[in-house]
Amino acid sequence: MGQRQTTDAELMRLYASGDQASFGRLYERHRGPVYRYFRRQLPPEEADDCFQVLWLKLIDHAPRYRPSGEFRHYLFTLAHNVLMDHYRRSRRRVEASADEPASDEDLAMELVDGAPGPDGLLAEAELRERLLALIGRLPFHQREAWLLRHEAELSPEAIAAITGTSLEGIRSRLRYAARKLKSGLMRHV
Amino acid sequence: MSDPNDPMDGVERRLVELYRAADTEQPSAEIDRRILRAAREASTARRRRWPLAGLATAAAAVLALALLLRPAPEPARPTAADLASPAPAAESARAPAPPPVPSGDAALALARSVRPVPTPAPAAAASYATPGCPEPHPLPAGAVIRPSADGIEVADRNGDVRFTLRCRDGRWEREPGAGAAPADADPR
Repeated sequence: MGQRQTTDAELMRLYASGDQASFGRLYERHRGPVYRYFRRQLPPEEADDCFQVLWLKLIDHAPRYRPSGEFRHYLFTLAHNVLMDHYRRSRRRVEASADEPASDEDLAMELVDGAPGPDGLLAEAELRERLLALIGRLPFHQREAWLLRHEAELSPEAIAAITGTSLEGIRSRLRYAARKLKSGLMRHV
Repeated sequence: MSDPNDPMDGVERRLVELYRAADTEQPSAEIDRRILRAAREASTARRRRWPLAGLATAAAAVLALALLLRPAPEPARPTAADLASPAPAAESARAPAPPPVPSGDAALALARSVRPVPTPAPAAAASYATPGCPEPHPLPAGAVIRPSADGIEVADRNGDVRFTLRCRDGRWEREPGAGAAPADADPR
């Protein structure tokens, strides 16, 4: 008979009351998705920095944390804020997300340097690499929405709340992102 | 997490599966160590701060409680001597508490020197007691007492000594004075 898994909110409360092991369990659960959220949007060193800043913020906020929804929602809200702060500090422009479908030419251009094999098919490993490259080339807002949906596994409503966008806007970004990724890969599948 | 407004077709589902298989990147072990160490240190620092904050709060609470429960000052009760010849309030307030009871001559000497001990008495009559003879001896209304060679003299308002009281072995001895009235004979 399996034991009920301690919730993230309970782990936060336990950590805030001095149980250091609870933080370790919480970290173990979320380190991967949070790291990849940064890593898909930033170069490795910057992703490392943002990742650490996020967890230090969480450690600092732990005594004041009051569960009012899903912990993941709270965690990725912090992550989104860290990312935005990083962009502001590095004066990097967040490219406007054209919520319009990219043309087939755009997609073809994105794939131009990934030549398929002689039989026109990419091996599975190459396909994965191509997918990551395609995600990296999505406009910022589409990419972030897609990562929050499929990496953080958040609902479109939660993504809308985190990014301060309308629900319809988020659905639109998700649709365009998926369409670009599919089109980009299907040429080779 | 399924959303009816966000349907995924078979290709998109395959795309997501491919992504999950493709992207398994994790933070380095060094980063893990740094973050877990920071969490430990923050937790320890918080625990160190708590006892101090807790002690300060507890001390403040005890002080507040002590102030709340402090009894109001009671008015001093009048003594037999006060009834006989009113003494200044300040002097009465300064009167020290009676010391432990000695025996013999020392007790007698002490009985002369100490102020009368307040005793519960009927409202109509005052009484007199000392540490050597704690049983109160009744005094006539308006009586004036003054120390004598071996006890106290009890006089009326005119200054005529009605009787003398002596404390012997814990009992009162009463001897009629020059101005004694028949009622001043020792009732015992």
